[in-house]
Amino acid sequence: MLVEMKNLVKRYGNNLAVDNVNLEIAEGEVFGLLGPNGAGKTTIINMLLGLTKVDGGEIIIFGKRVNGNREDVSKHIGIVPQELAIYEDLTAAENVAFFGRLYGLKGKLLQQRVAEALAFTGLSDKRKEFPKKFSGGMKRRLNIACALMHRPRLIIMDEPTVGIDPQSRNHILSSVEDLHQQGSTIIYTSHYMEEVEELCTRIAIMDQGRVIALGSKEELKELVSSEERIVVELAGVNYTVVDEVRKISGVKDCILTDSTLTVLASKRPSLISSIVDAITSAGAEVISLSAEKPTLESVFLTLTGKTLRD
Amino acid sequence: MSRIITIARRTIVQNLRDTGNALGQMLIFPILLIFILGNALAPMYDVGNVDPTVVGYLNEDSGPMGRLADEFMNMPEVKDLLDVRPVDSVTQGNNLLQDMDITALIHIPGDYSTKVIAGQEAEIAITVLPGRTFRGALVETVMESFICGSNATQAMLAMGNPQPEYRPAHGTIEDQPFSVSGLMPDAMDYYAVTMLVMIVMYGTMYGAYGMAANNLYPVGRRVKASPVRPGEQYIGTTIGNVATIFVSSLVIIAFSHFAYGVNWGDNLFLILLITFLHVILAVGLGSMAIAVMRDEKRASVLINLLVIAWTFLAGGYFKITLPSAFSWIQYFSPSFLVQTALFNTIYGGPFSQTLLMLAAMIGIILLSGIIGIAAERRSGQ
Repeated sequence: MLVEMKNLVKRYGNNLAVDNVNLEIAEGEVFGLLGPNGAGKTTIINMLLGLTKVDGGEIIIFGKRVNGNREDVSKHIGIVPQELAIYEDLTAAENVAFFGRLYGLKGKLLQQRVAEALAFTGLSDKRKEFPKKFSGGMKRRLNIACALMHRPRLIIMDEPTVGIDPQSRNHILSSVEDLHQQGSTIIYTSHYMEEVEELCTRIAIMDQGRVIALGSKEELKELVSSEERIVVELAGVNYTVVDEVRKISGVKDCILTDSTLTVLASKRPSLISSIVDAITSAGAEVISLSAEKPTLESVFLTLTGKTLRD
Repeated sequence: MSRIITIARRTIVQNLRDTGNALGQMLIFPILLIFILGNALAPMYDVGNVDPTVVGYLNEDSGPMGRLADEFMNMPEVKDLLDVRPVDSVTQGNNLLQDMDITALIHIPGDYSTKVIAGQEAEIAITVLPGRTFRGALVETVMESFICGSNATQAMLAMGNPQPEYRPAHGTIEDQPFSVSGLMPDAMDYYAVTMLVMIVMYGTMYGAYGMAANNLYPVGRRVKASPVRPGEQYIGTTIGNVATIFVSSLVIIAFSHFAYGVNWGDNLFLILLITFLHVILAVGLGSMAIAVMRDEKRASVLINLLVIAWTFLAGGYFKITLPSAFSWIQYFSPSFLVQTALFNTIYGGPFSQTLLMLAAMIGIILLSGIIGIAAERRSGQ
């Protein structure tokens, strides 16, 4: 295993931020860490990087304990932080070169890797420009370039696509695919279910510091195969609709957003007709109705009782 | 080591490209202020041809030192500075002081020679009219030069010469700031030192920003995630900031000397050493402010207020004279420590006092460094 976390614990005062987490990540995997804010994802990443002290358990990366070998281990890790971590007053090339030097690169090799990293992230023609002139997406790509130039064995990407345009997002996602194809091991955290579904070979769902589910996306969806997600477009919406639908046996959750009602319920015969009856009796009108296959969102909802955005 | 150099170099580049142009302000602001204050307040510092200061003189010592003091008071160099009026008693002297007929009273007690020869602590009492700071300092300086000369004489007495001739140490009087030879700071000289000290003290902002960037900004945390060892990031950033501010200081010193003719004295090495330590002190204090407060905005406000207060206490904006009972307050101002060391070096003040100031500065540097590195380690908990 490339990464092993054994009985990992982190406390902040009385708050248990990471609660006895056990995870193993194999070489070449794209491993997804999924969970809402405060689930413990970033704390785990900081412990992997040796930036946060471990209160219990241990982390072994590349066969070495992080505790006591931080500098040695971190030489082979590339981190793409959640927040932009670049210098606005250094050019794109200077930013990448700066981080390259910290990882021991110099001379021609440094220049070569700078060129490669900028080309990989589509920033070659911006190498002499300052990030303050960049769009949000370009800054995100530079954020990634700085993490890749020392060709790390393990890449940790913490919400790398937050707040960017679709074009840059697609570029980043295809970059992650390319890195995976090249054999890199990637730990990827995101709020965006579809990204995790698309990219990750295995996923750990976290909540309140614990891993509550672990497996491939197919294995996770299997957990909620007995459930159905029904989306109803309504006219004449009023909030009694939600109360009426929640009274139906087997309904686990019901969310009204504008004129769209999303219902998560156990599969059973006549469920849909019961929902339509409840909506009608509440004085609303059904415009359209669809039953969806389980997604990671519904898996998360089922396991935690809340959405990822909560 | 290479990582420290990488971080230091990045810090310097960042400072030079600073979008807020803080570095430009650090150079232009003091150069302009030295010129404006130096010219506007020149009359306050121009003593011109100082009339001799009228002093009462009571010598109760009939020993060899007392005789030497009488000789000293009759020397032409001293007569240029002091109009000596012998008095018969302390009471008479105090009365003359009260009536403002004399500016100061010099009293040599009867046991002065006995104590000096016995190697005991002996004092010459000088009483100065309140508010006569300049003339009081002049009287003290003249008497200090007597003591310098009498030390040599005392040594001759100890070696068995019963009637040594009094010779003041060469240049003792002339080298003092308040001398007739004009080697006292004029307004330009004074403000060149105080503005340099003030502007370097604002270097605390560089220290604060550097520490904040290392510990509170995402990019600093990213650097920590790289293979940097504990302390390397702090040391590299500090070196970069110190180099930036020190070079700025050199520009101010050189410009003020060549453009304004400011007197930086003969011991340039010591001036640069004091300035260098001051830069480290300022950066260290800024780092410590962030380490303690963990909030860049609050720390910046505090630093700005402290620099103003320290500069004021040190007489940076204008000379201040605190009542002797409160003069110890000035020692809480790092600016005062630095200014005292610089003025002593330029104008030949007591070297022991300069050393004391340097020791205090090094103490502050060590304290702030320890707190800064401890805070870096703490941030990883």
